[in-house]
Amino acid sequence: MTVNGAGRPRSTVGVSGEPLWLLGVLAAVAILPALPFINNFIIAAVVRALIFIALGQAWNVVAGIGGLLSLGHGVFLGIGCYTMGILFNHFGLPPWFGVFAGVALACVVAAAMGALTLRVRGVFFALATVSVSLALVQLSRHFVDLTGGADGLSLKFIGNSLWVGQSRTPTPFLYAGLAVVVLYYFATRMILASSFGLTMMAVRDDETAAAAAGVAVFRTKLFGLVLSAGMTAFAAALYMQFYMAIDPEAAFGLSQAIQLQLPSLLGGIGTAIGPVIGGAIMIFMSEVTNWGSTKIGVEGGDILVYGILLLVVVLRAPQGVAGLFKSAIVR
Amino acid sequence: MSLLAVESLVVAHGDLVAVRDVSFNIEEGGVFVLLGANGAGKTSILRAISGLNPPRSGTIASDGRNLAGLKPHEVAAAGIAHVPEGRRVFPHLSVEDNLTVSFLVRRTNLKLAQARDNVYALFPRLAERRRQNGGTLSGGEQQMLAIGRAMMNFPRLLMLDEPSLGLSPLLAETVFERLGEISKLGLTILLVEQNAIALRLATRGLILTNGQVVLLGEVSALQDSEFVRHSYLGL
Repeated sequence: MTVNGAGRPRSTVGVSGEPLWLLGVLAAVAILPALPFINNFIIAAVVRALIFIALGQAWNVVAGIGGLLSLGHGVFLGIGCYTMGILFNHFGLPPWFGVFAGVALACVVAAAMGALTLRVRGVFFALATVSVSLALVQLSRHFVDLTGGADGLSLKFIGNSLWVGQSRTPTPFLYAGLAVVVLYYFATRMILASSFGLTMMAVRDDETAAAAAGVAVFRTKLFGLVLSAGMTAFAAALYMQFYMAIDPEAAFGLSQAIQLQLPSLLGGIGTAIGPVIGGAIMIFMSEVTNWGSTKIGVEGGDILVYGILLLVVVLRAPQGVAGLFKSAIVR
Repeated sequence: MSLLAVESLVVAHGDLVAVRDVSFNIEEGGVFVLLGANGAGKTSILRAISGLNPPRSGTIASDGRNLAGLKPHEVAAAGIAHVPEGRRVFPHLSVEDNLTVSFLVRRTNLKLAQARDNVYALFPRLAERRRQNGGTLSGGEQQMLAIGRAMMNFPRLLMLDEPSLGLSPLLAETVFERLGEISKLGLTILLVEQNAIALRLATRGLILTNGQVVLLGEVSALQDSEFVRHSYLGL
């Protein structure tokens, strides 16, 4: 490897194999609304996929690249959604500004959580993410005036308006979602190839060896967590403007926490392409099972399918779908 | 001033005192060996120096600068590199990236590629395997990578924790040969070992029993000691 112009050493991870087919898929998604047989129902499903891909990409940074198992990334999704919603409903602040308040608050909370838990090794961090989730469920239920309590918070509906980021049709969210996913994809590649990403992966692989090699372990983990939290709260803007509502379960609940992890786990953890593939699979499966379970009158079929999918991946393909592709090519 | 001055070092893990009142100096050049049986406190001393396990009391100084209380990455930046016990490479990073991680400390004006070529010159096997992940290397290759990675820090003192552990006698011999070459390059080495081959390489050293120094001095004195005669030569 060579040293680039700025003289900063880079890693060799993620710099080879530009997936051109991915750009093709994205282009296909972009022209979806123009196709004759595509209705709003299908576009909405694709938007849901893009939202969870983006959230998965954010989780992947801290968990996949940094090896910090966050079981409660809903904390940052919830903080993003609630902050935007409260600022809009109570103060009329458009989401274009509210999102940055949400990102800032998520970063502050992540930094506080990290400062308390990342100095010690092991499961403390994972447990802390769970307990903060549980605490926020109670907090959001308690402050009814602000958060709407257990019923949740619905955005005041204005109608089609770019200024407040609202639309009756899902198509604008398709392009917004696409933009965020593409941005996060290239951001992930940049992180993987950067010296910061290299130190994160070194800490993930072996904390003691990384420290001995001169990596500032605590600082690296903290930056990774704050970055991932900020990315999650930013993607939360898509979630909030599309769903128009958030409630304690949807933000901080267990099944949401699982949905934030699944894209990376299914698609390939620690890779740039993994969450993109995994998120698409996850939403496709969820649409199919929801359709199926409405037919037979059973609820929650998607969680069951997620569980089975996850078991299969963990047992049969721990590197995810991206890993399967890779080993197929090598053979 | 000594390259490394350890004085009245006490290291404890909870109630268990692993190192009691250990003092020694390492001057520039040569190989200093820390010899002792399992559980004698050798690893605890290294981990105390490198900041992985802060000492309970005592001082550790390099050229008069106090190292006690520094974080591991600050000790590395001060020019003291630690190759931890048990060939700890980054399994999911390529050989090349394993080396780059240490280079980030930036104690040299060399370019990354030049620094890596220095390591490859010492360990040609690593050059052959440069694109392979650390976890796919053999035990001997991993040990070489761990040593090479520490050299990317461009340290003044290279500390190795039982580099022969778990290697075949032949591979252990190779590792010690390389350490001899590294020493000839002018790098000072602090070597923790149970293996008596280490004595061939060493210039000075000490013998540790139950966390205390039983003998400190030139390598000839160590070789004649009862500990070495008893433990390694069966006399």
